[in-house]
Amino acid sequence: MNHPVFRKATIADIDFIAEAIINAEKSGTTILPLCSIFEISEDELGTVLKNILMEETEGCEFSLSSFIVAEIEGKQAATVAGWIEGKNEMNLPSSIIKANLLNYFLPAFNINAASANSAAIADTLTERTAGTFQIEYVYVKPEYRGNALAVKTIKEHLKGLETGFKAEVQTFGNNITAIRSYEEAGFAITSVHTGKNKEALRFLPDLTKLLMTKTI
Amino acid sequence: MKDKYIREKLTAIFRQTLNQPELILKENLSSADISNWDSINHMQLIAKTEQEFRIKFSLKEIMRFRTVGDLVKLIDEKISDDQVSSLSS
Repeated sequence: MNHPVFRKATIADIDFIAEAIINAEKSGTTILPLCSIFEISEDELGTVLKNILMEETEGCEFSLSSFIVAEIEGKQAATVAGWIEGKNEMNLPSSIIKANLLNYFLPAFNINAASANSAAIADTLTERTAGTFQIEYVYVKPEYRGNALAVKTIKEHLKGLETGFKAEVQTFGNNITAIRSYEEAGFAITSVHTGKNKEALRFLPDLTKLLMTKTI
Repeated sequence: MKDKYIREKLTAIFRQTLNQPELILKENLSSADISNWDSINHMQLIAKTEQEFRIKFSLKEIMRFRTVGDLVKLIDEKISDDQVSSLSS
């Protein structure tokens, strides 16, 4: 396989980025949290994500500018989102930017559904640390797997960070493939959080969330 | 009168949504100050605010909402004194 070429995502990548988000959300399972929490179909979610990405809002995992794309022979092969938490025009947490985007593009029915479902997942939600570099939505197209593209794309994000900078990634405990990729990229598990409410498994791939960190 | 109306209604919305019956809304109150002001409750705050004041925020406007003071300002920009009279009657 030829060496990957890395570049920032553009509007032309929106379909691929939406595909990446949907597949990464599943964490190797059949459960798609955004769909189950907001009671929306995968197709509808795809449309919403594309509309969100078109806005080119900065500062979260739904920001086009957060994504680096790896190309092999001119074709999209992998992508990873990365951003500095809280570094945006209004110094908003990424969770709030993401909430604003979803709130704007989803009908009231879906927002209300999420509110009704939120009690089950409340104790599995984990915050991101302000000022750290966040990695999210690591995705490699099936036909390009087995070439360490995930690791290479993550490292591409980390290249520009100063020595001493801290990077974080959150992943579900049952996503062994992702955990191995993060470990290869130099991340180590620094905390483990297991939710107590088994109802959450209706909406999430696992009850356990790992925080993995790396100091550049 | 408009400011008082906005703050009274917002206090009720925040107290109910965040399940904090004694919450006092200060100007610089933000999601960093309240543990269950999470992303889903944030969406409810916006949705209930829009419903209560019969307004719709643009995406650009809602991205200016970091604190309670920001939200009060956003609502103030979108409703007139006449609308307050109409909403409160």
